[in-house]
Amino acid sequence: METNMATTDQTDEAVPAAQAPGTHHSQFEMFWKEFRRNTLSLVGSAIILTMLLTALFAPFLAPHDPTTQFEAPDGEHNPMPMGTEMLVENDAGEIVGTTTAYLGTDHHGRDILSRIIYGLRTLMTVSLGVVGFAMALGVTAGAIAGYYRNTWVDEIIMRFMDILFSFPSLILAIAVLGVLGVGSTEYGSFTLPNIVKVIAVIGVVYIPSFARVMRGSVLKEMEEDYIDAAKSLGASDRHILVKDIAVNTLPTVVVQGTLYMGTAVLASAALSFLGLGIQPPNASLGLMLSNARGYLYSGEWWYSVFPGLVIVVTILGFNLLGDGLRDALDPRNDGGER
Amino acid sequence: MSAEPDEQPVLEIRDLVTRFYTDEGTVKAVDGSSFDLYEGETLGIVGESGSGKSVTALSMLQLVDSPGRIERGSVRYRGDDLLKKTEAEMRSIRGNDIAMMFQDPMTSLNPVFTVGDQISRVIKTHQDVSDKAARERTIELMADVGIPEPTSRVDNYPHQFSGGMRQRALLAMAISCEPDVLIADEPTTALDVTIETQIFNVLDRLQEKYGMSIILITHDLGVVAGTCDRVAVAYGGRVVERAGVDALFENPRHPYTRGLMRSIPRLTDDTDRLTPVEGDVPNLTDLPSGCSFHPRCPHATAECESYDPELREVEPGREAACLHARGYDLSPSAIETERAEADGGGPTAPATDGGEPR
Amino acid sequence: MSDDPLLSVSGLHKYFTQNDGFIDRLLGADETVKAVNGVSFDIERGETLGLVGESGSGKSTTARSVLRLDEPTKGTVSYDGTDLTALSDREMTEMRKRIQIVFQDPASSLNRRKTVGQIIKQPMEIHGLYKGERDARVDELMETVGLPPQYSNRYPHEFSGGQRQRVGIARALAVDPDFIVADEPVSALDVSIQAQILNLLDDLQEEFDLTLLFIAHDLSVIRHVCDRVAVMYLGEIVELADADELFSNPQHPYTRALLGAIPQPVPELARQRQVLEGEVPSPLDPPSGCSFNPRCPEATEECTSVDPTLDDVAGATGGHKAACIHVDEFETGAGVPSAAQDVDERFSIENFDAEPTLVTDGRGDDDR
Repeated sequence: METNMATTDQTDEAVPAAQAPGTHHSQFEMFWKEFRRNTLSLVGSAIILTMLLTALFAPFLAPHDPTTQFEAPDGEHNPMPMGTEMLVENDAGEIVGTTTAYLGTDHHGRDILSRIIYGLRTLMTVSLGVVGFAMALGVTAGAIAGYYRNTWVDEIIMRFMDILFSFPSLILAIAVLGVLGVGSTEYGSFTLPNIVKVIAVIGVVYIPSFARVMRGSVLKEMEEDYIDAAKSLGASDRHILVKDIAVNTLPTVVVQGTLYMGTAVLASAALSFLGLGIQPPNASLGLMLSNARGYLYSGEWWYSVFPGLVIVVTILGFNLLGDGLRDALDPRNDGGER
Repeated sequence: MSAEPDEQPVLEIRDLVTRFYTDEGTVKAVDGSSFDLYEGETLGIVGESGSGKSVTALSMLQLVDSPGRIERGSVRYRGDDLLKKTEAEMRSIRGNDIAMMFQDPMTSLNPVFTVGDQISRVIKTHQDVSDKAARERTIELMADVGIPEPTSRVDNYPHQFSGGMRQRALLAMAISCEPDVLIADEPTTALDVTIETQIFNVLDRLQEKYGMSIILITHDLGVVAGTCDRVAVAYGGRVVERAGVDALFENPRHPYTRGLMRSIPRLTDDTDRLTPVEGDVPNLTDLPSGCSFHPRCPHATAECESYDPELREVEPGREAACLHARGYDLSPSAIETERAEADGGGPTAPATDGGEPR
Repeated sequence: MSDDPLLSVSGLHKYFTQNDGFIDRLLGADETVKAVNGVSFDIERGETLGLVGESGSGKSTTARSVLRLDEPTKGTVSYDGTDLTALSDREMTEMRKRIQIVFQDPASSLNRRKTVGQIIKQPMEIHGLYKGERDARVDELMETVGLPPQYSNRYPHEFSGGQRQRVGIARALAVDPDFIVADEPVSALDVSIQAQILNLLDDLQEEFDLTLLFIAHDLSVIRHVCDRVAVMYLGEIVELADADELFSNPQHPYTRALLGAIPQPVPELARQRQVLEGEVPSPLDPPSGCSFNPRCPEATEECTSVDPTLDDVAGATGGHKAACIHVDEFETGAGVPSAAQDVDERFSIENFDAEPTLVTDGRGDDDR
């Protein structure tokens, strides 16, 4: 056919240099190329990877059981400072040797390093749960509202989100937990585990944020002609939402989720701090801070500083990672060659 | 209106090179562009996307942002090289001596200020006048560009203006300090054809009134034919042909220009088949070797793949950058000079360049 | 095949309300924009009808209403004897196999996170066509539109604008349609690329027996592509005629003004561009009588009160219709000349080295 881009013997010439063989990149390659340029986002992902692995392998990494109460041979009072030699007992209560409390112990003589590692595990579980919960509900609601924009469906969903959004997060959590009670609740034969309750009460107030971001993102995609193209091909609403819009809004949602991980970490630590989150003797960084507060001025700084530091570094890690992801996934970066 | 032969050009652009250093590679947006603008004339710079025409305009006013950099060349404004000016000096030149008008009337106006405010602000930047005087001048300018009822519309916001009226407001802003040179970058591309005609009519009238020289950047050969005195055709980051408008449309001397003339649909021609320029516009990160048009050129020979032709005089008053253009100096000495230049890499004085004017 | 037109649009209206919020709508206070206001036309099998107009003329909304991408407010769209406006969603989905659209902006009309192979395959998946041979069909379609099939795993941004438009055309062809709406298919493309796409559409029309509704603002493009042309202004068709007739004998003052305003790539002609003053009125507040009367150089007192209908032009051929009460008072044959000079020959490569034929008027080209 003579309208082909060039005569057949010239086919390669007719293909612009941008797509000459060898320069083709998959979407991941392009993302990674952007992402790794930013040192801070690499630092962020290193932090988060470390934190997640630590949480996952806590039983292997923690030197001691987080609930074991140690004593020192010289009768050092609790909390014991960093580097204290502690006595190790066997099950029968006989002293079989000594071990070092690298980061000291808490006021019950429990090894802080081990409690931080297990506390991190709890923190990560709760935070991931919170963001996952809020994301699942928020994204679905936002996608539906955005797709059926300016209809009663949109109106009902978004006004409900406004109501949810107007609750101050921590106060809502305190109120709900105040009514339901702290700890696992039993409804007949069904037990509502404490952690699920904590995740839900923290997560519920983040739903509107995800819904709004998703709705905005969907609205932006709805402006694109490819939506009309899909409609004119006879694609169903569900097909368009799942197959067309989702792939384009996913990056925005992932970025939002990562950034909200930091907030979720802070909120779950805060709830624990107030005694409403994970209950003792389970290790929880927020609870450790709460307990350590009384020892700060008497010179036992290690008790509060290390758990605090872990929380700060984790939040920082999530924020750096989120910023890096946002820059690398920014749709403005894939606008083509012009 | 027409250019006087022996006059000193208002603007003299020589071997301008602007590059953008991106992760995807170096974008040779402007790759050795040369042209002149004479007193009172309208020069058309015509080109497609990737011809570097807009970046050329931005480079002239040193408005190229990072990662772009003006690498070399000169932009002489009445003998003064603008590329050697400091940012502060440039600020007093921009808008005052050389004004620029952009394509998109939607984004070039700030939606939160009235149109009048935005025009008078330009006036007050360059002239020491009272608010009242600036406002009066603004109303005068708005009348000048054909905005009806300027005394009331001066207090309107951009969204209360139609696209055509917004473009007129931008024009008022551009001419507010009676500039010497107006650079209009695709001023009517976003507008309907009937509105486009109106804008060019206004532009014509204002050029006469203020004695401006105009550089009109466009992709539309019809616009060029109707408004320009002389034309520079841009392709692959440089000017490949320069000629007076009648001569260019009568007999283009560069194969690219010829291709364009053949491919555009014409109102006066009703054949079903058009004759396209095959291939695609070049990618500025990876320009073809030799003459950048050679992969699409029906006239290309083996030499075109390696030899990068300079803009040379092909008949009095016209230049083309094509080895095969009749009159293109292919004498051994000319080629030798060009090779030496290419090897030397740096800018060479135009004196060694046979076809370059002056 | 019957002799009935393939598509018959009758009394099509599309109104938009200004308030977009649901609560706003509950509270009333609507402002209605009559984007399309009673449009009727037929398209015969195998022909190309051009719909031309400036922004705000309603040409794109007309096309979208025909495809039911916007639900028409009033009127019927009869396709091969079936009224599309009366179909259920399910029946319409079936119908979409036969009616396709090519969009203006190839960057926006392709999903940027899908490979072009996935994009072209999508219509086959939706309609469950070509099971098991979809990949082969993608390759075949890419070849048909002039793209190397080995690039089917690339993303749209790796292609140039013209190539992306080819992908859009391949997608439209994937379901073997017999009718294609081309909504400004070349106006986002570079000048040197437009001709490639226009020729491609011409080839495909022949190869696949396509009927085309071609929407454009550029009358030069329309002239090359279309068999018949409808000129729209403010939501109504003001003139409808065979392409040759329209260009050689334009009757409606708006068509004449539009033809006069087009900058032609011929300096002598382009310098004589005629200026049509005024702007397209707001469709929120259209003028009374003929909608063109505030800008019309021929307007009389009567034009402000009488709303003209699209009637046959007396003495004209080829179903020439115009909506103007003064239509019979105008001279005939005031259009543009046809095929003034053979452009191909004039700018051909063979003549590349020819001596210049023109003695220049000295205008600008003797600057040394």
